Amino acid sequence: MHIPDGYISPATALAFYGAVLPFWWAAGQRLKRVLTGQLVPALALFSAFTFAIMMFNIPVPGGTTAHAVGGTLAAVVLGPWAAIISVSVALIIQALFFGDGGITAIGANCFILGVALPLTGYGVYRLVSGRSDPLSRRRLLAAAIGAYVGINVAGLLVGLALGIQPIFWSENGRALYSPYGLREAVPAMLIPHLTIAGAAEVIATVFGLAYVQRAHPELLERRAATARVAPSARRLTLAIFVLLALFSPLGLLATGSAWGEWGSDELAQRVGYVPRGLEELESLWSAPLPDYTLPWMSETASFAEQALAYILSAIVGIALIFATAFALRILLRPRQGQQATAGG
Amino acid sequence: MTASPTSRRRRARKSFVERTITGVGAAIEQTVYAETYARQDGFLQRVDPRAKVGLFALALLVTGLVHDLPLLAGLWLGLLGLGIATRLPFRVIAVRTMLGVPLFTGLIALPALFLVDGRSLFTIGPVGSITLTVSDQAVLSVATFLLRVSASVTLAALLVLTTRWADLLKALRIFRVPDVFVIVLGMTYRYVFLLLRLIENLFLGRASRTVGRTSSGEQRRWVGASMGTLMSRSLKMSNDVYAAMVARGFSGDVRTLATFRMRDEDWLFVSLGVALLGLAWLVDLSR
Repeated sequence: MHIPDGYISPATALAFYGAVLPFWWAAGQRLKRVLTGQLVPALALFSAFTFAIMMFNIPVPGGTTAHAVGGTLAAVVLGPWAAIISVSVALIIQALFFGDGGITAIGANCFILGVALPLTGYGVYRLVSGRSDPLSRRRLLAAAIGAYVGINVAGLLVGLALGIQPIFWSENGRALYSPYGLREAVPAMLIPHLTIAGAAEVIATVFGLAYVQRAHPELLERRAATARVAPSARRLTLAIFVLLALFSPLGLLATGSAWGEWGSDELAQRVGYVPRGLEELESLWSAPLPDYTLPWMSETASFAEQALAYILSAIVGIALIFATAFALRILLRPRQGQQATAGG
Repeated sequence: MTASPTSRRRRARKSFVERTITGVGAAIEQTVYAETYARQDGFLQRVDPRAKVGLFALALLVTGLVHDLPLLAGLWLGLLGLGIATRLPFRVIAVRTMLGVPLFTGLIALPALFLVDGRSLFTIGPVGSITLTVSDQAVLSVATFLLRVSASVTLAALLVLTTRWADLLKALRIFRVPDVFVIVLGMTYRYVFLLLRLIENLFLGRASRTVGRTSSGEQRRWVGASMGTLMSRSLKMSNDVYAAMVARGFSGDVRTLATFRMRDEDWLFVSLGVALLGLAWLVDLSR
């Protein structure tokens, strides 16, 4: 899941470095204020802990084992800003000293696993958990959903980062970096994350959090007391989903249908690059990844119109996700009578 | 397929406990060996870490940008030669730069041979309704991908195997990485091994206590509890470490000793390296 060197173009790698730097800076500023002098040892131990979590083999249903990132667990117990730094430091040490993940790809890996994963996971966790007791079972469910969404957003982002490589960086039909386009890279990343990696992340998060609730409740209560350290969960989740919506026109590149309209020979060549021999597999992929050609759009719609249509359909999808999340909150709201016991 | 008793036993032996113990052991072993090679006397080991980090960063960039296939192959072979010239055992270079990431990449890239379009070279099949066609562009794409990944991995391995980690971290300053960040990286690296030992003991303890099979629910609860234990220990340790630092006069500011000095040999290494890499880039642009 860590992107190695040579898989993405230097331009992509640089863009990810640019994307991750503001998050590191913001996290550093926030943590400096909260941890004051304790900043250095606290971050070092948090990071070492996150590194150690990644070494665990988690028994997954079905008899296999998988590694977890633990980003959502770190965000829930240590807070999202501390999670950003500690997962990033752990990833940098992996890349520099253990050869896991590329050095040029540090920005990409840190943005995807160190920023997008914990922030999405934490945002969903906060949305689902609402104002429930930090030691309640609802928090476990919230962490499970958060971890699952977080790891899959990360998987999707890796798929997108790899999938755009042959589209933008090919020379006479020869792929210069990772050779798989979006329609292979995205499912190839998402399917294992929806299943095995997702399960490992959920198991690590739920059982880890359950243990902390049981054995070290003071950690979670202290976090609840310093909740203002966290960015507003709603604003944050919204920001991430807006970002995802803006990325949605990438679907246009995957289908290749709109590229013919550009007319240029060079681009036509790129369309021709979409593998022809894949027809057999396409029917298989179309199940997890529904065909994104929008049937109500006219054939003559311009690229911009189609892109807009994509963003709009992404907004519809995201609104539905939000509706589900709020419905869950309402359904899981403790009833009037239970409030007293839950609070005690 | 029916599982024979031996194969079932083998599978049972490779439980999550053993896998974690093996993984932790391998990680510790790997870094210990890396540190041993970095202390040996060799041409790359003697170069100033700042010069090495700067030049290797440029080399990574050029390796990332080069289009030309023979040039990529030349870069990779040149790096392998550099590894031998700096007295790294060939076995270590081979394991680090051909197994691991490049082998994994080869497996990943295999299907691309049949998926990338171009002028057909040969076809396999039809087997049933499936015909696999390998095109010239597919072969070129896969070769480019593999060579680029191998060259990059070799570069990273050479840097780590010839530089002591403390020097490597200090050298990061030339990229204007803030001191606090460098210190955090260094301390994390130290405590990673402490926590890895802790995991090893937790898992070894479990392995020696466990007889027969355990339910998967129990396994998951135990893994969760170990993670929780690890978390509470590291939080407690962070308080202890802070107290120890304060006791030794730590005031929150980070000060470090910069003891590197660039010798003429280092400047020669940098200028030669930059010239060679620049030339490679120019050759690539002219093709």
